[in-house]
Amino acid sequence: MRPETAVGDLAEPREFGTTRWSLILSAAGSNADEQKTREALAELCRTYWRPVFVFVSRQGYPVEEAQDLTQDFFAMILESNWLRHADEHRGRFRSFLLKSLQNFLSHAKERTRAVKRGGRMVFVSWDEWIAEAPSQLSVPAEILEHIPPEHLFDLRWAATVVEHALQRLREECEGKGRLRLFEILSAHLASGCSDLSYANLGAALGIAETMVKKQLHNLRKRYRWFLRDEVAHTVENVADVDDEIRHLCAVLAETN
Amino acid sequence: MKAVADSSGSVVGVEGTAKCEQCGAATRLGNGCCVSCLLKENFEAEVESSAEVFEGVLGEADVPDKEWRLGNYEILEEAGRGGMGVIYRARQRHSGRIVALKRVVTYHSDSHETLARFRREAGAAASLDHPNILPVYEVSETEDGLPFFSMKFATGGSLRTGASGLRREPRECVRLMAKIARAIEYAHTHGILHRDLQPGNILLDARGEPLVSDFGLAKWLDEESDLTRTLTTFGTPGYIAPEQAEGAHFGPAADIYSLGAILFNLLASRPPFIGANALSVIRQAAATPAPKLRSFVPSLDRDLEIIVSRCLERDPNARYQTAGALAEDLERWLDGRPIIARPVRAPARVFRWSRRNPILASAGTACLLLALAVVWLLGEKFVAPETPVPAKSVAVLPFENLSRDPDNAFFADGVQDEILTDLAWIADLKVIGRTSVLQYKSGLPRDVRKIGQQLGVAHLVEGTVERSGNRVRVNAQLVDARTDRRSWGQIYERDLADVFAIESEIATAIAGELNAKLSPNEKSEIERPTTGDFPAFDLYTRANNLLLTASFRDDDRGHLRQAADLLNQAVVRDPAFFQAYCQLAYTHDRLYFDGFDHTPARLALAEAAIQTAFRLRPDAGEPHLARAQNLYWGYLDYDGALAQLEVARQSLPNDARIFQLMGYVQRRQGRWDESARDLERAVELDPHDLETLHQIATNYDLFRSYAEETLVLDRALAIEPNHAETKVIRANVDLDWRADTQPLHQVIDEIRAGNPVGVRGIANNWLICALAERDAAAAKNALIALGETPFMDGSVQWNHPLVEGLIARMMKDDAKARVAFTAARADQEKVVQAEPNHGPARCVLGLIDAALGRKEEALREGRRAVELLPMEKDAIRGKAMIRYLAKIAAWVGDNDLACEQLAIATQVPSGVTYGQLKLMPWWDALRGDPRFEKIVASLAPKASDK
Repeated sequence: MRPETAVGDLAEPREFGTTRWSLILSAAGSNADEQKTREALAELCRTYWRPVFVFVSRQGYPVEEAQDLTQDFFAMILESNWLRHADEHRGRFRSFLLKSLQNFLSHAKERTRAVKRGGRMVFVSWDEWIAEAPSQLSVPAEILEHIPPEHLFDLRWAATVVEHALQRLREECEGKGRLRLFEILSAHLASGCSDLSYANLGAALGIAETMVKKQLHNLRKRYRWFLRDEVAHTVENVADVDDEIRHLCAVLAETN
Repeated sequence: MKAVADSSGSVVGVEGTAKCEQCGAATRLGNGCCVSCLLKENFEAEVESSAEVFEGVLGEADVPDKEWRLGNYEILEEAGRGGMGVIYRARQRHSGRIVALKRVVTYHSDSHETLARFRREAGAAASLDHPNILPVYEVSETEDGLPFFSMKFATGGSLRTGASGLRREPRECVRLMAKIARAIEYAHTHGILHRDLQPGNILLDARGEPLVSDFGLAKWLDEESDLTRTLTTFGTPGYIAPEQAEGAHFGPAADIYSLGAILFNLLASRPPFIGANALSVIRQAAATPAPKLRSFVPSLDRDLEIIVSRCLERDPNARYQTAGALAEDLERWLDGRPIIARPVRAPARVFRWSRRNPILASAGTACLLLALAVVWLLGEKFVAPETPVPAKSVAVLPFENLSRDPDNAFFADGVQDEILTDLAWIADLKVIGRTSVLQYKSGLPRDVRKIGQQLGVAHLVEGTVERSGNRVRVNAQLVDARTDRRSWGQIYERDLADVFAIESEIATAIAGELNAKLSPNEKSEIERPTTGDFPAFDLYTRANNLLLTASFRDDDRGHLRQAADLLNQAVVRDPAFFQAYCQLAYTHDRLYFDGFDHTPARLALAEAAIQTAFRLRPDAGEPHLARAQNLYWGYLDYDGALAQLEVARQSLPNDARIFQLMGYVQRRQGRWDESARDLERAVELDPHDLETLHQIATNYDLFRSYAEETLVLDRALAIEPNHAETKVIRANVDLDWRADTQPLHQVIDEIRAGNPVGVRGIANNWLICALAERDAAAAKNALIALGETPFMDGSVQWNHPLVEGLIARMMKDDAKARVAFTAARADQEKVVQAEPNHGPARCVLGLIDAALGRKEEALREGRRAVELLPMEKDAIRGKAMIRYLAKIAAWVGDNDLACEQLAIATQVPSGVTYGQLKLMPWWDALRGDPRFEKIVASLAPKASDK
C-alpha cells in the first residue's frame, strides 16, 4: 500500500548547504568515490522515477515498452559516464533528468534494438508498481488528456516532492508514537485551511484546543523543513530551493 | 465514464474532482491533500524546526499511539489503506481478540457520499454469513461520530500478495476460485453485488482459505438509488466488467467477469488487459475480446481457457449466468468431469452486443464507427452454446487436380468455382465466397473441423477432378465440419462436354442434402451452363484467379491488364459467354478507377461489356452488379450505383462483392456507419477476404482510430500471417499514429531479406518510410523497386520524376531537383491533357509547378483540383484535394493558405496523420510556423493511446 520509495531508507536530513545533487555534480568532475556518487544518484532516481515513467508513457509507447525504456534510461544514467555531460544543464536535477530523457527518447529506437529482453537492468520494480493502490495523484481527467508531456512530468515531480516530505513527517511521528496525531492533523497541514475546527480536532484527539494549535504549528514547521530538504536535494545551490518550488507551483497553477 | 484512473502509481485523471477550497486547484494526492497548497506551504513564515525541537513539542501532546482507541478497540498498527478507508490491526479490549478495524480516513469524513458508502459496506458485509466471506464483528461509531467496523483479521495476506506462490499450481488456483465463486453466489442470492472483485480484495486466512472482503462498492440488487454512480471511485481497471466501466446498468454478470479476470491473473500472472493507464485498459476490455489464457501459458488445460473466456465475454449475456454456474464448472474441472461451457463461434452475438452498447463498443471513438468496433474472431469464439453456425451453410474448397497435365489445374479450379457459383444462387444457403476458400489449397491435409470453425460453416465440399482427353472424372464429397463425417459423396465419369451438367448436378445434390429450398428461378440458374467452350472456360478461370488476388493497394496494374486480356480472348471464343463479359466490365472499371488508365476510352470498353451482358441476360443480377461498379468507379454516381446493387442483391444473395461495394460507396457519401455494417456483412460471406479487411482498416485509419485499425489488421494477419502487404500496413499504423518509423522499417527489412519477390508489392510503403527517415539512398532503391508503378500518396499518384525531384531537394541538390521537376511536369501535363477533369492529376501538376516556383499556376491547379473533386462529391478523395492545395500553398510560401487548408484537411475523415505531418519532407516548408505546429500537436498521440 505504501509507495515503495517512501520507506525510511533515505539518509537522515542534513543541514542545508550540501545537497545530494550538488555532491553528485561535484563528484562527477573529480576522483571522488565513484560507488558513493552512483548510490547517491541512484537514490535520487529511485525517488523520481515516476515522472520519468509518466513522461515516457505519454509518448504513446505501449506499457511494456515504456517500462523497458524507463529501465534503460536509468541504466544509461547509472552505468555510463552520463554525469560527465552534466555541465550543460547543471543546476536542477529535474530539468537535467528531463533533458536527458528527451535526448534518450529521441534515440530510443536504436537503443531498444540494442538491448536484448531479459538482459536489462531492473531499476524500477514493476510488480510493486502494479500492486500499488490505484493512484498517488489525481488530476481532473480533462486536464490529463491535454496536458503536454513536459508539464505532466513536472506535475508528477511536484507531487513526488510533497509525498516524500509528508512521508518523512509521518515516519517521524510514528517513531515518536504519535501516528494518530499525524493521521488526524495532517489533513490540515496547509496553512491556508480556513474552516478549521480546533474544537473538533481536540475532541477527536482528546486534547485541548490550544494544544491542537500548537501541534499543528509544530507539524507545519517540520513539514516545511522536509519539503525544503526534499527540494534541496535536487538543486545545486540551496539558494535555488525557493525558485524551484516557485516553478513547480507555476506549473500546477497553469495546469489547473 | 466516471474515473480515468491510471492502473497504478502514476497519475489518475478523475472527472468531477472537487477543487481545493483554498487555491482552486484540483490536483490532489491520494490522501486528498492539495498538492499546490502543500507546495505553497514553503513560503509560509517559519521554517526552522530541528528534529529535537519538533519531537519535543510532539511529546507534549498526550495522545500516545499505544493508548489509541476506537470504541472498544486498541489500535496496534496500520495494516492497509484504501481509497476512502484505513485499516488497522487492533485488539478488542476485554476479549483480547485481534481484529481488522476499518475507519474512514479523516480527509473524507466530511463527505456524505463517502460516509454513506462506508456505512453501506459495513451493512453489506455484516449481513453476509459465509465461510468464505470476511466476517464483520461489529459496526460502530467513534466518539466524534465517524463510522468504523471490525472484521476478522486475515493473516494470510491477499491474492495480490499471495498470487506468486500459486502461479505453478493451477489446481490450487481453481480450488480457491471455486470457493470464491460460491461465496459470491451466496452474496448474489442475498441480493448483494460486490462490484469491486480484484485480487487485493480476496484475503487469505491462516490456513490459506479465501475470504472475500471489501464490499466498499457493494450494492443491493433492488436498491433504487445508486450512490456510487456519482462517486469518482469505481472498480479496479483490469478486473472491472466493460458494462460496469461504462456506467450502464449491470448485474451479477459484472462480478462474474471480475472473477474470470482474477482467475486469469492467477493462472497467467497478469490480468487479461494491461495498459499504461486505466482508460486504455478499459478501452481494450470494451473493444477487444480477452486474450486467450493459453497464449500466455500454453501448458494450461484447454477447459480452463474455456471457463475463463466464458467469464470474460464482453456481452454479459454470454457469460455464466450465475456465479454458481461458474463454481459448478470449476468444481467439475477439479473432479475431472466434463465442463458445461463450450466454445462456439458466433460473431453475430458480439455484433449485436456492440450495437446495443455503442459507447463501449466504439470505446469512446466516433460513434459512427461503432459497427466496426466489433471484433471478429478468427479462431474459436467462446459464447453460449445456443448460437451455433447455421446448419444450412457451406464452403466449397478447392478441388484437387488429378490430371497429368498441370495446365488442367485451372480446370479443377473452374469446376470448384462453378459449384460454388451454383450454390451461391440459393438464398436459403449461406455460401462462403471465393477469396476465403483460396487458402485451403488442394492436396494438403485439411483439418475439417477447424476450417468449418474458421469459416463459420457447418459443411464443406471437397473433391478431385481428373481430365483425360475428352473424358472427365469428378469426385465430390460433402463433409459435416462439426463431426468430420462425410454426409454425401458421388463420382461422375462422363464426356468433357457434360462437365457443366455435372457441376449442376453436384450443386443440386448438395442443396438437397442440406434441405435447402430451391425456387424455380434458382433451379434454372443452377442448371444453366456457363459456356460450351472449354478453352474459353479455362481463360475465364485463369482471369478470375488473377482478379481474386488483385487488391487496391497491390501492384495491380499487371494483374488487371492480364485479366482483361484473358477475358477478351474468352469472349472471342464464346461471344455468348455472359459471366466473362461481367468480369471484363469489372476489370475495365477497376483499371479506370485505380488510375492506371483514367481515360474515357477505358470507360467505353467497360460500357460495351456491360451492354453485351445485359443483352445476353437482361434479367440476371450480374449485369446490375457490373453496372453498379461502373457507375461508382466510372462516374462517382453513388445513388445510381446503390440502386443497381439493390437489384443485383435480389438474385445474388451470397455475393460478398455486393456488400463490399455498398460499403465503399456509402463511405464516399460520408455514410460511415452503413459502410461499416455492409463491409462487415461482406466479411461474413467472405471471411478471409483480406481486401475487405484492409478496407475496414482504412475506415478506421481515416478516423485515426488506430487501436481499432490495428485489431482489424490483426484479424487479417491471423488469416495470413506472412501477408507482406498486411504486415506493412500494420506497421504503417505506428508511423501514422506515433510518427514511429521503426516497425515499418523493420518489416520492410524483413520482407526485403526474406521475400525479394514481394518487395514490389510493398515498395510504396518502403518509399514512404525512406522519405520519413530522410534516407535518400533507400528512397532511390524503393523507387526502383516500384518499377513502372507510380508512387501513391494516399489516393494521389506521383510520377517517378516528381519523387526524384523530392529526393534531390531533400539532399539539397537544387539543380538536380529542378531537372527532375521539369521532367515530371512534362509527364504530368500529358496526363492532365488526357484527363483534364481528373482532380488528382491536376493537383499533382500543381505540386510540380509549386516545386518549379510557378506560384500562380500552382495555386490555380490546386484550386481547380478541389473544384473538380469537392468533398461533397467524394468524402475521401475530396479531402485529399484540399490536403494537396495545402501542400502546394506551403511549397509556394503561402503559409496562410497552407495552414488554413491543412486545418480543413485534418478534420476526420482525413488522410492527414500525425506521423505524416511530423516526418514527411513535403511539409518541411511549414515547420516552425506556430499554426502548423499547433495542428501537429493536436494530432499527437495521447497518453491513453497505448
